[in-house]
Amino acid sequence: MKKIFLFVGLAFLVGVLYGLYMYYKKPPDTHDLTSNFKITAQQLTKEYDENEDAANKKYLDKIIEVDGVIGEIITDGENPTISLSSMDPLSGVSCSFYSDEAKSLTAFKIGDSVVIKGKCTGKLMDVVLNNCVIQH
Amino acid sequence: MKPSFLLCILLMTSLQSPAQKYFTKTGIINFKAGTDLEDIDAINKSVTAIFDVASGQIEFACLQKGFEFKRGLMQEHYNENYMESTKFPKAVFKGKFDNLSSVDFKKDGNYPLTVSGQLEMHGVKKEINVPGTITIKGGNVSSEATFQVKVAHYNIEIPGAVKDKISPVVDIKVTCEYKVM
Repeated sequence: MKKIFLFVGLAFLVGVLYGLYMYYKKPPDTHDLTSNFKITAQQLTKEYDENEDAANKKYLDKIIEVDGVIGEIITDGENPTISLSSMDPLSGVSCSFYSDEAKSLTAFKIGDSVVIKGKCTGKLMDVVLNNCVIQH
Repeated sequence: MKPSFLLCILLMTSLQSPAQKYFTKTGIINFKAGTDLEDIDAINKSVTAIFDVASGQIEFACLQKGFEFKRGLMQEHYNENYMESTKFPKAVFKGKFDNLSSVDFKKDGNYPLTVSGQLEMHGVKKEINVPGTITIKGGNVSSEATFQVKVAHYNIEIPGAVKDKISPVVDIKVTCEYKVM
């Protein structure tokens, strides 16, 4: 009888702890994630320009390693961002970084080639990647 | 053509202020949807906004998947259960300033304005009016607007089990720093 109580009590405790763990868990950190796709900024922009729905089905929420040339770079403030250029002057890939990545971005300038890993959130004017990190 | 006449025309065209468009791809939207029982705060740092000085028209767009929460489960629930982001990936506002001509883009200051237009979110379009401010400082143009949205107006259902944790009225703040297009 005692053994059953102990077992049930333990199972209950594990359940509660697991529930708390899931409840407080942060969204996954891109640093730790393996990329689902490796692609150039040019290719990613082209696929989205040609068929946004199909591109979203393929890339939305996925971790993408994008290879491209820096068209724009913002390193001040809370919103460090790099824009990768494509053949289309009106669209590219906008990469929004974790705020603690801002320091590592100061090493880069417009025209540099860079590989960035981030989560695809869709397309507005640009294809937008969130939670980005520089992929070395 | 007489040289003085040509000069006149050149002078006239150079004195006309060019029709400016201002835009950003890194605008910020913060929202608070929590109650006393629970904080539900999210931030989106990739909001696009464009406005045209000549017509006074303005457009904002943001991706639902771009909203970041402190807790992974909250972010998942927001996208899967509440906003159905796979079906409705964006929120878009298209509207017009009531009196953009009152802003002197060359003079530093805070210019209070109202924007009226249509917000489309979760498959529902609704007319809204939002008060805000355009700030000119040292040649830089920025805007800030705070408003509230009733969740029910956009067909977003709050299940009974979490009714005391999620507010039926969400506070939204939009902050943008613009560049000339």
